[in-house]
Amino acid sequence: MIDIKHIYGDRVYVFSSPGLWANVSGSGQRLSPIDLSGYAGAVVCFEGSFSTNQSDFDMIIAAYDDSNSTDPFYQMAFGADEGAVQHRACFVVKGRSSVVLGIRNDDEGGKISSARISYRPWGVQTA
Amino acid sequence: MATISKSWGSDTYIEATDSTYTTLSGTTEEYSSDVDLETDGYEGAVVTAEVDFDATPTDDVIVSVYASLDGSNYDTEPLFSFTIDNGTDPAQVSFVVTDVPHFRLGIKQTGSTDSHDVRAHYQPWRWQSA
Repeated sequence: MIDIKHIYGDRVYVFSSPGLWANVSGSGQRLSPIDLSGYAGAVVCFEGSFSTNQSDFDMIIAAYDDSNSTDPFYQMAFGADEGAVQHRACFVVKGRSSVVLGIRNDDEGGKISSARISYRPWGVQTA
Repeated sequence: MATISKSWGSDTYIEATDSTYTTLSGTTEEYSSDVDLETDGYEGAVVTAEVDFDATPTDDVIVSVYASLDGSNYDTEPLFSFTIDNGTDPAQVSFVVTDVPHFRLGIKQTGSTDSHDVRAHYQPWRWQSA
C-alpha cells in the first residue's frame, strides 16, 4: 500500500508581513493573482485590525476568479463594531489555477483599518 | 490498474472523553483540542459532536469550526457553525472538515439558563494506493 498524503506548502504573505499590518482604505485594492498551478488548492487567511475608537464600518474581504471579475466567489466582512479589534478568517480555495484577493473598507469617510493576508498552498503526494 | 482507497486514522477525543463530558457554562465558548491534519497528511476528518442536554432544556448548543494555519493561532470567525437543537436529547451530529492543516471546535450555549454536557471526537482520513 502506498500512502497518498495531503502536503501543505510554507505560509506565504501577500499583504503585509508577519507581525506587521498594512493600511486598508475605503477604495481598497486587489492584489496580484496568486498562482496555484501545481497545487490542488490553498488555505487563505485574512487578518483584520481596527483601532478601538472605530465602530461604524466593516472591512470587506473577497476572492475573485481573476483581476477582471466584478463579483467575488467568496466574500465576508469584519465588523469594527463587533467588540474584537482583531479578526482572523480562513477559507479554502480549490479547483482553480489562480485566485485574486481583494480588501477594502465599506466606509466612505476615509477611515483606515489594517490587515495582513497569507496563504498556504496544498497538494497531494505519494509517500 | 491501482485501486485507491480511503485509509482511516484512529478515533480521537478532542473534547472530554468517551466516558466523560465537559459541562458548558453560560454563553462562554468551550474550545476543543487541536486537530492536526497536516503532520500525517490527512485530507480531512469526520467530526462528531455530542450533547447531553439538561432536563427541560431552554438553551440550544452552537458548534463552530475554527481553522488555523499553524495549530496555535486560530480564526476568530468560524469556517462554519451550526446549532444543535435541544429537542432531541441526547443529540449527536457528525460533519466533515477538509483541506485545512489544523482546526478546533468552539462549543457554546445560546443562553445562560442551562449547563449542558458536551463532548467531541474525530477520525481523520487520507488515501492509499494498492
